[in-house]
Amino acid sequence: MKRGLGWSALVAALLVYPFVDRVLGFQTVHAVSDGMIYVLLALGLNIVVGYAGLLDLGYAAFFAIGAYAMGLLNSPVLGSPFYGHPWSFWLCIWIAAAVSALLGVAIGAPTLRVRGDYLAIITLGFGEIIPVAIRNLGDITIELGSWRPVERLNLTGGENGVNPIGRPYFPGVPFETDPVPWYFLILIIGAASLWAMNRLRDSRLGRAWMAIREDETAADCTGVNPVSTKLLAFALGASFSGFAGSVYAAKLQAITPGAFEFQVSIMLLCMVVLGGAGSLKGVILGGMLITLFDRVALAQMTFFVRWVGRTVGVPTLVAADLTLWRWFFFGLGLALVMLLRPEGLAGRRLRPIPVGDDSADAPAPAVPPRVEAIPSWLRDRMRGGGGAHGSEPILEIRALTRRFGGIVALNDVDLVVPRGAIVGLIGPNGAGKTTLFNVVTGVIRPEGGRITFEGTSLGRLRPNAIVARGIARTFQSIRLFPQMTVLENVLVGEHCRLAASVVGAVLRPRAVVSEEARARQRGRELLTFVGLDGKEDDVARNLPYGDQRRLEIARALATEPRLILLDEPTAGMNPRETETLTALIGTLRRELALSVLLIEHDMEVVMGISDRITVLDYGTRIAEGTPAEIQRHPRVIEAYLGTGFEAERHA
Amino acid sequence: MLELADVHTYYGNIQALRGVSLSVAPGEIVTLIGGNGAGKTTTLRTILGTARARRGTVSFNGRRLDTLATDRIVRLGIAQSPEGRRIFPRMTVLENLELGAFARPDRAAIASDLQRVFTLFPRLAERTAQSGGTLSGGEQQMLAIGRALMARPTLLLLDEPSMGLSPILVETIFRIVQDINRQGTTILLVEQNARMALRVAHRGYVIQTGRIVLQDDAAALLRSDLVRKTYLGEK
Amino acid sequence: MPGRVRALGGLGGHDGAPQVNAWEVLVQQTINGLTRGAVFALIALGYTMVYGIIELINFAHGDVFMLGLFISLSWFALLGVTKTLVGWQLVTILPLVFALTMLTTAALNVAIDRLAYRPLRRSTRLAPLITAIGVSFMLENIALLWKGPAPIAYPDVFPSVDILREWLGVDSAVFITTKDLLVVGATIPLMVGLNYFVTRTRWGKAMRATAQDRETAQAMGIDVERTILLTFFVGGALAGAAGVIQGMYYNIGMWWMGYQAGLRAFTAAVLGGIGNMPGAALGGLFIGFLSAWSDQYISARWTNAIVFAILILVLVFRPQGLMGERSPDKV
Repeated sequence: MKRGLGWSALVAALLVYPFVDRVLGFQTVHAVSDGMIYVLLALGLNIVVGYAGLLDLGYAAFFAIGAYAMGLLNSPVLGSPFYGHPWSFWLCIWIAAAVSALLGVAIGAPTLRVRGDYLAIITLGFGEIIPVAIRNLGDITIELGSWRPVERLNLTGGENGVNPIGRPYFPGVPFETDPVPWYFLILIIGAASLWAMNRLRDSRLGRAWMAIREDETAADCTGVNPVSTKLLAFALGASFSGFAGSVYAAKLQAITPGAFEFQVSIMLLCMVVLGGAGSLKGVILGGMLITLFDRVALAQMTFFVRWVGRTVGVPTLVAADLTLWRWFFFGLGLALVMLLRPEGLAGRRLRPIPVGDDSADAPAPAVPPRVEAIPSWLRDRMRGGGGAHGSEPILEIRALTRRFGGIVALNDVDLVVPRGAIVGLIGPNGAGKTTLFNVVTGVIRPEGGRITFEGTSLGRLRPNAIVARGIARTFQSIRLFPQMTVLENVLVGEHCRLAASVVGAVLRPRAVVSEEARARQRGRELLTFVGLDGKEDDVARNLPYGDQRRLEIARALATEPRLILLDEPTAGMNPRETETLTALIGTLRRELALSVLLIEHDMEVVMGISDRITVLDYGTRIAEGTPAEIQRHPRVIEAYLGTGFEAERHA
Repeated sequence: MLELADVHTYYGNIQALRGVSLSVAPGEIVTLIGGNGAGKTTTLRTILGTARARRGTVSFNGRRLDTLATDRIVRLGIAQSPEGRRIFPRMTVLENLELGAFARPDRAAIASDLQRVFTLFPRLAERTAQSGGTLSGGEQQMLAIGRALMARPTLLLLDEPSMGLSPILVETIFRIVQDINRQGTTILLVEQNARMALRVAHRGYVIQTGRIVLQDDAAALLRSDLVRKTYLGEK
Repeated sequence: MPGRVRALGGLGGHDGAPQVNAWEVLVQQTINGLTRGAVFALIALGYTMVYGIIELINFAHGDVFMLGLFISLSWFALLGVTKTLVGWQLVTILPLVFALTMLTTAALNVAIDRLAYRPLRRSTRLAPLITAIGVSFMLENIALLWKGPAPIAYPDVFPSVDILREWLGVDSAVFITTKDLLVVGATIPLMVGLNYFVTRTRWGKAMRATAQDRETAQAMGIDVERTILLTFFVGGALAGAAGVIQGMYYNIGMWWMGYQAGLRAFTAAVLGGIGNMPGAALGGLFIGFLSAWSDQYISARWTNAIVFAILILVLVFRPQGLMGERSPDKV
């Protein structure tokens, strides 16, 4: 948010506006207040769509629940006990938010494992079911033969809706037809919501949301729990519409199911998309523009077109009514934004990825890791767990088996990683190496066998829980969070070692503030260690390839692992970068006593750095030993070069 | 016939080929061998246009390929049996073969080519109505090669035909590859199984981390120790 | 509305006809289900074909169906048809209007793809979906402006003859009319034609191949973009045919009908297994039956909720549908 002059001018304008309007007689405050309610809704949707990346097409359902919660609790229609008290509005607004949040969880839960476009359809489905339910639950009659246990039960007011609804009470402030008190009420709620959302975005939870949005699997394997993170997005996003819906209901004094149809969800989506999903300023801007367009511009354009018609003498123009075109323009707007400027008006513009060049005379040499820059806290953390388990292997895999359809990907595989060792895992194409990584990190379930880490079985833990236990991994095709900065990527790595909750993120007690400061400090130290200092605010996708790989390692180190799984870390690197990376791996083991399990195709690297090597071929372990042993092992030669290669050679 | 000169290919930011040069003369079987991740399939994809060379040239009979779209390249007379076979799983053997001939202008000759494929691969003739996904690995490999032949190519690209097959089947397939070559088709064979590949090929290139590190007559490569050392990272 | 049971206990029929029994209600609703299902099947095929080839939920497809109905009205007017068709007109004008409407909606669908979806081919899965929603709204609004907000009357161009009573002399509360024959008579040849196209012709096979493995299809020399265009063309044509059938059967059209019909047809496509064409056809029939029975035995007010509940259940618990194949996501 802008500081200084611009900020104060804006606040002043907002405070003064309704009085200016009254003096000048424009009478726009009602419309503007209604528009502000929709902007508040859009901000709630922004949490789901913009922060967490979940395309919710049925957001109006939460709006409905918020409005109906307030309506039903605070109206004489159903004989609610809350109606008629001075504090009833102020109480019910919180109940409405809570009910909306619960509904958010209920709607979010089925979508957890579902792909993005299907998720959108599911939310759309709920968005349709809720108004149908509201319409039809105003007159419920259940007949079982001749027995009628329920007759004409009215739960929601049905098609007629609910009215009247109790107004807020504040001594000295009349909440009736004068729009000014409503304006300030909404303004205060809006400002408080913005404050809370801002805090959420720059918090442990906000980073978790963005990580999920960018790459859910990578987030999971970095220690972020996708289930709770997504549900929180739904719940919190929905709760804001609980507030908005409550005020809407109380202001309008009457609510009907017709106000919460699909079009409303899409209009809110338009606001978010146009302004820029994920940007608070953008959503407010988008919301204002759309409200202005809808309420003002269309009417004005109609007058203009009619005037032109009258002047030029074209009768069709004279009868034109451009307000009938609103959905056409909204649809056109959505399509144009997606086609021309998908990041919206205020979103971060995505620059094209810079091309790396492998010319022999490339200017800047790769920065080697700074051994002296190893953070002491990391060193302590790693060394700390050494004691009791000294001689036991850190990872023990026994009889691991996994099939895909008819293909046996892993066949009764044994593998041991001694503590503090670097173990290489090699094998021809399709040997099952990445599958093994996926099983160890919990992404895939094994069908047989047992994995023991530091003496305890990993059982059926989720990936993020396995990270918390102390196993980190990198991916074959680097999976960073591309639109987050370098430092943010590392901070996501620290997610599982931090403790700030939702409440803590918003209220920011001293403990949370110092935890965040410590986390940032540690992140910077890690970046210095891997040789990325000074780049902490660069956007991850703009980094050259070698730096991206190092960032991935820094992120993995941030989870404070005792075992790190590297999947083809030198893939696509030039010889110089390969050397640097190899040195880094060696440093990790030497200085931090980190155990490493390494998949590699670059044979020179793997033979050079590994203490021991396991070879897989078609899912079966065919050899295990030191590099020298493996290089001479007949079955290994056969697997890579073909049966009888050696015999052929000497023939 | 085919010429790659100093080709550099990238996947996004990752450089997969670092200055690859190779050539294939008409009538030859040339093999490109190397460990996995070395860049073998990337080379074939660059030839076919699925991946683009950022530097360097690819020419076929004098024509530049690196500026053409894939379906145009295929029409010039190049066909592929892809890595992993990539049979259309829910289409029959016959339909797969017919699709191989999709780009051919001379539709009348397709029937006789179909017969030719069935003669080469009698197992396929027995299973014309069976859907591709239900075939065994060996049958799928035969179908992939047969499908490529249906385009009546002058240059046939084979990507790891031995993958996942028993040694006996591998021998059969490679014998058929030699037959195809004798019948006039030039072949570029990409393989991980160095022995079989060097036995059938005339010349060979060894690729490692995106660079050609060895090239010679196939017989000479088969005799030398260098191939094994390269594969298994001995200095 | 033709086909509805007019009496349900208590009213009695004309000519001293007996009260309707439950069996007749069931038969009637099954016939209703069949006619609805045929329309849903035609629309669902368009969804499933497009999704199969580019993994896009073409949100605007239902509105192409709606516009098919509106456009066919214009074609009838252009050809000077004002009253019920008779005799030879049924075999000349009727197929002509079908063909013209189908061509128009096919071209419309292709235009939508080229303008709105093609630029986003390499983008995320969500961007074209949002664009499709935008297009959907645009199409609905165009229809609204074209013919006004009220439902429009579709002229009674197809003769409606009560078969049981007038041809067979059977007195029953069940209504089977020549319009039901129209639905069957129009849908079956279309399905047969589509099946032939997809299994016997070169381009039909190219379509299937591209949907199964785009890169390999390209390596066979198949022009992928042209194949995608063809898919939109065929899908659009089917939706147009469905629109003509709908108009001639129910004699009414609403500018908002595309949304509901589209979502029900999409449910059908998902139920059958998205990408699976026989599945889409069967799914369409199922949803047709379901909606007819739900309207009759529960209440038309709840049918939407029931269909959407099924959609949600399928997407959550069995996203590959009843006949589809499971495709694992690779890590």
